[in-house]
Amino acid sequence: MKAYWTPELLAPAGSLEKLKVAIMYGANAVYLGGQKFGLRSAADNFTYEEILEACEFAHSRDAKVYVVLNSFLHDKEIEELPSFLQHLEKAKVDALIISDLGVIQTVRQNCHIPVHLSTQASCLNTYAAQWWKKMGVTRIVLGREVSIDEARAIKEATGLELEMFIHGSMCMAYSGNCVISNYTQGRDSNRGGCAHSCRFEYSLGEENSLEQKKAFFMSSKDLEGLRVLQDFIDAGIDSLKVEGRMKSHHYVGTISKVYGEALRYYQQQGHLLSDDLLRWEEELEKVTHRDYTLASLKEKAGEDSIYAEREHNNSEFTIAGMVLEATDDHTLVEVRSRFTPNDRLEIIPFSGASTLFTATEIKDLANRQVEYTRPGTLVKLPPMKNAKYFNLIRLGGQA
Amino acid sequence: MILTAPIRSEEDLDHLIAANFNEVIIGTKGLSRFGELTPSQAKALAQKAQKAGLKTVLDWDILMTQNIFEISLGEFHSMDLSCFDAIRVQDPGALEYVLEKTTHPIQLNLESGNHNLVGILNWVNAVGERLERLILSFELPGQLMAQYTQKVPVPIEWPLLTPILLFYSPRSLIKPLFPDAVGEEAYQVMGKSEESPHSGFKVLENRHGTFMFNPKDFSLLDKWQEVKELGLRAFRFDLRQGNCFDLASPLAAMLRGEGELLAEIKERYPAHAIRGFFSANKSDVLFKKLKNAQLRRRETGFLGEVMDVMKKESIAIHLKNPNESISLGDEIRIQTPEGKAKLTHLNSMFNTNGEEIVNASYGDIVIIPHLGGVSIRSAVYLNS
Repeated sequence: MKAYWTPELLAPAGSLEKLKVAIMYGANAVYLGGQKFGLRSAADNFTYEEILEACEFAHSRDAKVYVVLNSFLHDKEIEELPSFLQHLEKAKVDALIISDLGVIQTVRQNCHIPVHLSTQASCLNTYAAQWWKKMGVTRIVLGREVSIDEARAIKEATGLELEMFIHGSMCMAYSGNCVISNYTQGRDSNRGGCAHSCRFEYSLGEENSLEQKKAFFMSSKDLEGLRVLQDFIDAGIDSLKVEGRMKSHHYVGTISKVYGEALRYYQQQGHLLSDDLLRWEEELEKVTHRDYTLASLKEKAGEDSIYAEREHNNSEFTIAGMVLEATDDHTLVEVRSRFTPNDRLEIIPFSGASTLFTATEIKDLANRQVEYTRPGTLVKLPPMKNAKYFNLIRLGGQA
Repeated sequence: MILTAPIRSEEDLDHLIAANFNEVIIGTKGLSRFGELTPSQAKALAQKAQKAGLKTVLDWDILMTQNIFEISLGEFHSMDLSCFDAIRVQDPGALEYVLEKTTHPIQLNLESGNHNLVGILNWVNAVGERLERLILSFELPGQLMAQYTQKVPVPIEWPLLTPILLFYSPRSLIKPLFPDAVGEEAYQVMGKSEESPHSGFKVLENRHGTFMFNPKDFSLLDKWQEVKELGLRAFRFDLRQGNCFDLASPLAAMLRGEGELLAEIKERYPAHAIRGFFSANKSDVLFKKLKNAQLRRRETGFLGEVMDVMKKESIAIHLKNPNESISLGDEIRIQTPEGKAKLTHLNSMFNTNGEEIVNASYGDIVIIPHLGGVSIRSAVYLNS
């Protein structure tokens, strides 16, 4: 049977466990940060050994691992970089995501790992892509301001691999061109210290005017590109990136599963007119998110791309736990949220629709019945036929 | 010493001519973030400036998606480039295009990022002989700049007095909120954060998007005696926002040592100013506090993580290292999130079915007797 070409699905890996969840749920590539040189200072980030394990885990499942070095590095860090690169090469990392020409140069002098240009470099047009191609990058993560049609033109003109964001939170500014945190919080936003000041509420008014308008005027809605997945495929975009190294297991698993299933469906059918389309869209609604927008994927992001609220849409679907062990005797669950024997739960398989169930019996590790679970503990549920390690169990399933 | 400034009008230019500036930066509506001139107005100003002996620089500093780039090319090609002695670019697409399609000297703006010498030198090498000047970030401390000017083989420009641009978005963020703001004219409001103590942000929307500025401008006038020793070759004054081109003459005179004019300039300048990161840039020292280093997996002997603690009964450990295993008799070290270390010998171990086991490996969940002071998420190491 013919397999139709599809782009890579690239998921965020904020931790080793999230990396495994992403791959098990359908991502064909993941991106992660080491202890230094990335843009997420508050994320768990990976030690050398974890990067090694991440590569072994991913490669054994035909998935790729990209490491972000996209902070704007200072001289001292450039000096420290070569030893880190040696380790990454030894771990067989598949590519590095970089925004700074000094880092590109250092990488090219010290290892043979391919270089992807980070979106932080705001590469937006054909001539810029040509420039970066001359600098030695093999793939460009385009700025989120670029439409799919524009990306197609860039690809045709340069022949470079292109990566575009398909899902997740959005910077409102051109990436790399916002320093609000630097001056207001003393934290360099381009070195991992972004304080998300663009999500704040501001009072706005003409100078010396008493009339003020309160608005979240710099906060963007979240990107959701499932509706234009066909356009990405038609344009030959090589990799579809999901934002969110700081986000939850639930987010990473759900987004990887939805887009992974859609891409596999396309691979088999050559179109996306699936009966599952509605289910996929419903699944995307179940993770915590701001309102969704296509942003600039089809046309320049307009007024309706601004998110006029402070808080996210807190999904009523929260993760009850994650399966750690599935035996003939029990299903061992790491508890993330409180639930009781009467609660309706759903186990999310790596592929296909969720299975609803009620945890009729919950036991602790000493096999005593418990009336409710406590986050940060392990509990045993009755054995489930299709349960597997890393399956997520969600609260709030509807009968 | 080159004194340069962006202008918007003939009146601005007259001030610079009178002040004996060496250079003028001219931006048009279609190519420059804050440009207000048509190509023909830009040409007229450039011709007048050249006649007065000033060097003229065409400012092409907008960032451009492919569609905007193509529109910009229309304006770029409508310009009479013979009136300009150099072209100033920021988007690498504009850089590549100017390199390929013109013979003009290039002034390259590297103010966004580019905080290391290896990268800066690589830009210099890649652009080649036509690079006549670099504009570097004023987030770099002065001491570092002194080193860079010694090692970078092209002249470097820094601002001495300028608004601080905090945020540049192509989206229309202000006009939708103010129905009176219609058409393509620039519209400016003042912003005050409702969630932090900051106020006085100028927020400007024009045809290129929305720009937000720091409440205080950047000025190194106080530090001029130090700055002039850094080896910088060009100094920029952006007097547009304050509409204070009448300060051009005292500024130039001050820099040339023609009088004690600092107090007068500060009094007449319409905004408060800061020195930014001139003395030191410590904007990443807080990062270490953003995460718990105690939980970071060490390289040697890592076994796994504590997943469950049943007081006075047991501790459940999830073995997460494919390269390590444990056996009865081994000594383990448990590192708590608070930084305490607990040592214990494995005298008994059980699996999740309650069966006694003698060894365990990657992926297993092992139950051991309770140990006081241990909490979940503690890291477990083989104490070999």
